[in-house]
Amino acid sequence: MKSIAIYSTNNLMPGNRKWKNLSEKYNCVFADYATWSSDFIEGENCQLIQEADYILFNLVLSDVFDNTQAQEVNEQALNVAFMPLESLLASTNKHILVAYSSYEFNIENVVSYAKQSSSRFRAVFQFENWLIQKVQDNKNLYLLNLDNQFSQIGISNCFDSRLYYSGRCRFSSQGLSVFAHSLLNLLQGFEQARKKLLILDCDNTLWGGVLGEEGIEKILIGQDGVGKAFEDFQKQIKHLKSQGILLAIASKNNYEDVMQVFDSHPQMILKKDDFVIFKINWSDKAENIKEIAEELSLGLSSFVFWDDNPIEREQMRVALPEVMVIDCPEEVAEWPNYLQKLTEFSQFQLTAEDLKKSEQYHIRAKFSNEIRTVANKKDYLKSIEMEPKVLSLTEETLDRAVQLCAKTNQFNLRTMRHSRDDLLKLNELGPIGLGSLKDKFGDHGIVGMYVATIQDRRTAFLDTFLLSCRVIGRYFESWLLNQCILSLKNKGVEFLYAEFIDSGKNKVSQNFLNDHHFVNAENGRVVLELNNYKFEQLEVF
Amino acid sequence: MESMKNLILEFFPKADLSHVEKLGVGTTESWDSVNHFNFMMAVEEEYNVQFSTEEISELKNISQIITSLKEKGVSF
Repeated sequence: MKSIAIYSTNNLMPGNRKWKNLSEKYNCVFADYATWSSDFIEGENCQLIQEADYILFNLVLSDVFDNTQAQEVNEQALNVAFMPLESLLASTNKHILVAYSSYEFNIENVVSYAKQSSSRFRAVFQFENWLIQKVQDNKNLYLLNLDNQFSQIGISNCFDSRLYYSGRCRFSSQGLSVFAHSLLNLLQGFEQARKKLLILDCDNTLWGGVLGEEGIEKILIGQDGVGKAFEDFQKQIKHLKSQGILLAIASKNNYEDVMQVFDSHPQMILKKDDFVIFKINWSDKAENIKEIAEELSLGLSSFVFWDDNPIEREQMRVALPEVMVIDCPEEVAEWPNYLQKLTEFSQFQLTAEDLKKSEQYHIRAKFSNEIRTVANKKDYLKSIEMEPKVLSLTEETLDRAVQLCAKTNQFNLRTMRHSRDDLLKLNELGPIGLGSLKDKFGDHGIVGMYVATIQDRRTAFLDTFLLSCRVIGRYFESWLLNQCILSLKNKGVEFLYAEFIDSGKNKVSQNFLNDHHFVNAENGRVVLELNNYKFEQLEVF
Repeated sequence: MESMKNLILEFFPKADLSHVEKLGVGTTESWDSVNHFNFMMAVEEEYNVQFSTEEISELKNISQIITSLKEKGVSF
């Protein structure tokens, strides 16, 4: 169980009912609320911080600045007041979550508000700007805007002055509940892999009405009323696509009818090109989704299924429990916001690779289609003009390297989840290579990686060898291993040790080492003698 | 009274329920002022009442809490 050190400028009521859900999933250690500044200055020397995986800092502006002296809140004053936070950021790479509220500064009567004459608003503005600046400067700092979360149930319900005066607790029971819930959601952003594919139904999901019965003229999309809600829902979906989420259709319909809507309905926001795959037929949706997984080489656990029909949803849950099934609201008007609020499609930072995802899977889908129809795989691979390249670890490639370590499950020999710092250290110990691949369908970007550490001059260890699943089956892994061996031989290394660690998910890479002539050595490891290594003729590049 | 007993057990599993009315801050392991505060917040939720700021500070045992709840229209 991971642990969170919880610091606060007020009393967060350790032991309160509202922390129960969070405490079941994380070991929550509440520091005494007066100790944040001294502990932060100690940084990693403070035991509580040292032992924590995450550090939470609940920062209520009015605990630190008097809201009757709001004119004093400026950048300089903020720097002074939160110097301990700055000091903590300098001393640790752990994730630091700042949950903040400026509520008391935002309470103002309408007259003062009307011409912005109150200095309180400027104080809030200064404070938020200051925080945003800190987030930009510090990779390990994350913000949780509590007021924003509270406002969803009414911000005044979330504060309780009685508790403040009798126990120095700012929040009401409801407030603590929203706090704990949103914190849990935020933490899931660290722990859970982002979903990759959204599978959508058509009738009464992308548009109102049943296409097969009502015809293209009668379906509801765009204009006023519920048609506008479907349009906004499509806009949200399109936005997800721009964030790198893949889209697919699974619909019981006539293929030609649906295509006609995509081709010729003027109000459709989503176009054919926005989807990587269409399964429009009358067979079972679960079967269709299994095919999608196969054709895109994606795990079912990265799929989200959105269908207005509760029977289809139930069947999907039973048939493919790994797929996340959304119980969407009955009311279509609520869908656009509902989709926006799902954390499963979000991640903290999007890399350039994420944004190109959709294009890359288009390529993948075309590739699977073509390869199924050719007899000789090697001839086919030769014909698609693959261009592999190996890049070294640089500031430009580092984010992608960390991401590959974090997300690659299937073709990954040891599943080492290296952080930025780990990789920078490993880069001193031996070669790190990042394999990128292009072919006639397009650029796949960086899709493979090795990390070798040279232990003494003659021997090295293969710390990491991984491949993104969308390029499995193209001999690219063999090519990448060759590059690794060449690089080691150039450095005078004679023996390369390696091992396979079963993670439960990486079966596909189980035979990789044996297939490439590694032989058994001590401690469950295998070894390759580099001087005698005959490079395999791959014939496809 | 069952609901009150359950609530007490949720926060203070070692409480001796044979003399419920006598229980309060300092009577049972871990029944300190912080946990009492949490307990009071739960009492408010359970009986859908609001104590005043003074009551939150002054109601230190179950007998006082029950008296106050009765005044607020809760029947036991």
